[in-house]
Amino acid sequence: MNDNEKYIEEFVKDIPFDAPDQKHRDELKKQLMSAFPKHRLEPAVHTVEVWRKIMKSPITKLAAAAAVIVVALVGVHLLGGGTVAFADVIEPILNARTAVLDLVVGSEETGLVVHDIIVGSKIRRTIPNMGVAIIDLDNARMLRLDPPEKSAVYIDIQGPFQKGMKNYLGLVRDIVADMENHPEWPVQELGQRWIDGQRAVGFLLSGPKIKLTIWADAETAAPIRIELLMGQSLTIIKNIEFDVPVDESLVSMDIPDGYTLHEKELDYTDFDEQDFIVVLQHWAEHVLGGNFPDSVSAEDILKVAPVLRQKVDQLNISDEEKMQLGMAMGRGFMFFRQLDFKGIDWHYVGKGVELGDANTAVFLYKQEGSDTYRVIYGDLHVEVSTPEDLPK
Amino acid sequence: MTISEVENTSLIKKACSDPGAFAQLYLMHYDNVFHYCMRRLFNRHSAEDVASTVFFKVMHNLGSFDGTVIDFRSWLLRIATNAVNDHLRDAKRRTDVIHRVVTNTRTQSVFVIGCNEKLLEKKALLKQALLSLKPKYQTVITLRFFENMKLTEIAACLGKNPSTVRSWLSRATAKLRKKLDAAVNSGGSKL
Repeated sequence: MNDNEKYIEEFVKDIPFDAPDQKHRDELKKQLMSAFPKHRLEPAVHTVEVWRKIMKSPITKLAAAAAVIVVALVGVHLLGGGTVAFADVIEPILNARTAVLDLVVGSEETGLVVHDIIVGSKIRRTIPNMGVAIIDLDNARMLRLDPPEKSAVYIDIQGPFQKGMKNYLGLVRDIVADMENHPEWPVQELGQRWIDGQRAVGFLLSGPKIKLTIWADAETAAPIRIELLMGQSLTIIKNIEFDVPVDESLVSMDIPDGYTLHEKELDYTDFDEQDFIVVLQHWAEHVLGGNFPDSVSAEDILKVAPVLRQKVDQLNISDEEKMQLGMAMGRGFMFFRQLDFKGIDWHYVGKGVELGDANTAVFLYKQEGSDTYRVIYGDLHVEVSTPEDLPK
Repeated sequence: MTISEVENTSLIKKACSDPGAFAQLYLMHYDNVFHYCMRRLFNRHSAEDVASTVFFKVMHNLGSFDGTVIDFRSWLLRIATNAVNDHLRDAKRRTDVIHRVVTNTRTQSVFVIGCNEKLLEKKALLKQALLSLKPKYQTVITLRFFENMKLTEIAACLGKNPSTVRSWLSRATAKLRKKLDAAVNSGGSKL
């Protein structure tokens, strides 16, 4: 070591430096985990096998489409939500003709991640272990493809959802106009944070029953993460790319070569409360040993749907009855999904309640156009209640 | 390799496809990376920003790493060095860094424990002197005197010949000493 080195070694000796901040370490860990490249994950062989086995059942081939519908509807407000008055950030959202993104249904840590390719009013949605859904929003129709089985089925998704699904990007522009008419909906600046290795600026829009957070690249203003809390449903959109070249055949509603089209078109447009009760009943009876689930959310439904399919298939009833039951469950999922879509106030209170308990409420929701609530109890009977008389 | 090194090498391989293993690897190395960035940048926010960049780069490029755990530290520090130098390369950023350094010389961070006024003064002088050097000289100084790396280790880390690193280190230490001496003699104003 020469004199200069000795001098510097002595000079720097004992100089204090900031210690690492645990908060930053934990926050960065979260960000890294959420951005961990999905294509590098070990394939979930077991899950895939179970799913394939289930899908070979005659009844589940069709009824499983219900779970796909739940996911399909999650993203309807995706771009619709991204409509706030910070022009630079929303500009690409408004003007993009194509988009490619990942959509997390539920929480960042546990939610299901689906991959979307959007071309105009059509979406190609790839759902892990559940195949592909091509959604034509203009015509409220969906084509579900099951690559392992090479089967296809058309699904009618009109009814209450039709208005919201008419035009994906068009809907966005409508809502922009809507927001301009509502200056009372505040847009709050959230400052900066690092997201997936990019410095991002955040904006929070709070409207009635909607909280929309958009994180955009601090330099380019390109949106990099959108979090939409609508009612009680959280959707996170990330890995967003706008106006990328897309092979339009990917969103074609034609049956791909080599696929067999199921002759019966599914119709999930006519659903009601009774269908949802069927879901609750079978969820408690066949999945949880007679207890209602701790929570009910889109994420919960996506996770339980394959299990329910399997349980239904094991029941000692005819194939036709299994089919009817599976369809009822699919409609039940639709009923649940539309509550947030319509902004209906609902509460799940079934944690710890046993199936058959006539005195304890499990689920309650406000009736459309009325001040009263419908309350589903543990024995699955339904009562109408005023807000004052709601069970505690 | 020791059993621990074998286990850690196995962890690195696993971390390519297993988020849990990657999280474990991250936690093992976060403090080291942060310290390195902190000693290069002298600013907590910048150090955290660059550390974030480093780990995202590590996550995306881990598949290309095929060495042992011993090489991993060098690999990590090389990524960190590049990230820090990228950060400093931007002239405006550099000006900002120096400006913040000058304005914050006596500001003691809440994260610094048990230091005295004299050491803080020395730190302020070191910040100004070191940040005024070329990034490559800053790099070898930090790796040599804070990371306690040997010449050959620094060379491996930077992918340079040991003779090149020796030459850089010699020039870097001479320049730094000159600046520190001048600063000390002028009470910190002449750098």
